[in-house]
Amino acid sequence: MIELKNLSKVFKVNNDEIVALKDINIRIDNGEIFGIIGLSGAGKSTLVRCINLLEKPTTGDVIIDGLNLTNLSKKELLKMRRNIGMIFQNFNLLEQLNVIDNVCFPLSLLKISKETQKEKAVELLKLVGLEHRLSYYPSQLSGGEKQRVAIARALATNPKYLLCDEATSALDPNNTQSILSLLKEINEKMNVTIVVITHEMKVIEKICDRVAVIDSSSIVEIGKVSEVFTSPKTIITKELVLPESTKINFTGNLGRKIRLIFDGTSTEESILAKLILETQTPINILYADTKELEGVTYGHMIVELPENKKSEEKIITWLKHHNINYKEEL
Amino acid sequence: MFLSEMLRDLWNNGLIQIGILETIYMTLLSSLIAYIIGLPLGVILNITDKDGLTPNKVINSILGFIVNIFRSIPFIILMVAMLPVAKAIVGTSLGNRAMIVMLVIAAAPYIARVVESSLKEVDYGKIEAAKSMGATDLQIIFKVILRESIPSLTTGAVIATVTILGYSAMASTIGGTGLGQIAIIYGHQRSNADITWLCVLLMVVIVQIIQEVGIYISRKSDKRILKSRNN
Ligand SMILES: Nc1ncnc2c1ncn2[C@@H]1O[C@H](COP(=O)(O)OP(=O)(O)OP(=O)(O)O)[C@@H](O)[C@H]1O
Ligand SMILES: [Mg+2]
Repeated sequence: MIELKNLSKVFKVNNDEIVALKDINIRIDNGEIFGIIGLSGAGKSTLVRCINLLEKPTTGDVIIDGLNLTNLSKKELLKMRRNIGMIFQNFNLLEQLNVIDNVCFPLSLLKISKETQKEKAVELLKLVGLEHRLSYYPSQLSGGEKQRVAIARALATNPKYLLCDEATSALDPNNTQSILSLLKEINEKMNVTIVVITHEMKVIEKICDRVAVIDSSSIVEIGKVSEVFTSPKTIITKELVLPESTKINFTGNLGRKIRLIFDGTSTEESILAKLILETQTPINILYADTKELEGVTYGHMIVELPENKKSEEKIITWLKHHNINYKEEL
Repeated sequence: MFLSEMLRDLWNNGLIQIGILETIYMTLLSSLIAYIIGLPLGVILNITDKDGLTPNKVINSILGFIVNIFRSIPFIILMVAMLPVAKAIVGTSLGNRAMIVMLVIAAAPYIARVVESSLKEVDYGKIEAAKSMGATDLQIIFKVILRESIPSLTTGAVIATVTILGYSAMASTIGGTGLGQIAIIYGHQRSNADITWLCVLLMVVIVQIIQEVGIYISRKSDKRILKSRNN
């Protein structure tokens, strides 16, 4: 379990004080994938770097498995870090070492025989699907492959925790998906607790159990992904969940707009088609971001209702009857 | 074109050949000793920098100041000023041993800067990654910073060696041996232009060989510039 208690971080640059984290309180349970989302400059990287004390918090505590890291001696801290793997946006592989030596690297820091190192490295490279790239150098790998090597490397010391700072931000959508699946697999198979930092809601949705939203150095919302995703409470979360909503140009003679929220309580399939067929009323979709998970629809849709009180009523009644949440959209 | 009598004499007596070997020997030996001193200094300059592994303003500015002083003095003046130092260290202010001392004094601060700039190329992210794995500072210096910059250090060493070769020729003016001395004594002072030109030509050839070999090694060792997937 990772506990951050009243954590704050202030950077002093010349005579300026930059508050990067303000009174952060988070508890991350063992076995979960915990997401931290926020816009650029919100303090995400600083937060995750405080977890393994790459950044020393100005005040507050970092407690991992009951051990307060801020009180550890340097030697104890270095030992503790072997229990917390970390991967980065730009991979940070050693470019003069080949794939297998990169994965051996964390083990080469310890007094472990070369054979044992190699054995472990090969095992991990198999896990990440790179057993055919052992003697390649990073410059010969694609971004997705590099991140796989970095994951294998981070796992070499059998850590209980894995910190991911924008691990998929430099990757294309396909590679992003496969890296996320890999992280999920590692979480499930090896029981590694994962902390995912990102600015993309898609990443959170895909693998996280819980999410914390960070805005201007503070946590503004925290909860299960399905809850935060379907009923965002703060403006910043809305913006992250509906990234385009603020940019949609609602010009023209528009009628009443409502946001349909599919939070999994309705088990109907192809809801919109049914709505239109059964009410015999045309509606205009302005924005949609929905997906089906295990046959249940999740997501948001902003629709424009017809300018006709009767048709409007019909639709609202239908929605209520079918247990679909909606909100007025301005 | 006529070759002077003297050039033929020098060649037949093997003096030019010895001059070549002496120049190479002085250059390589001075470079080696200068690296033994300059490399650790460069590492210290790099890690104590404000963006370095272990920032330390005091050490960094003191060391930087000393290095800059030596770097700003023209070699020919430094050499004269350091004659007593050479005498104190090797017992004489004449001959090749004294020259090597002066070459090292002049080159080590220069090498420290060359090394520092090579090490700066190592992305801090790699250092952070190593830190996150629990690496100690010493492990980071040897296994990350130095190891990742081997190609760049090699290129730097080539440039430094060529500079020291130039210094060694200058050192000839006040008592060193080698091609520089031959050019001055037999070429310049006795007005045999062909001897001067031959020495120049030989120096150019030596520089070219050092450069080609060094750059080849540097490129060969650099795993960032592999183009094809061979295995
Ligand atoms: N070493 C530092 N010195 C001074 N200020 C810093 C330092 N590191 C971060 N900051 C500041 O702290 C704030 C938070 O930075 P941080 O890198 O944590 O943001 P982030 O959420 O990770 O952003 P991004 O998505 O762009 O990576 C920023 O205003 C940044 O300028
Ligand atoms: Mg960041």
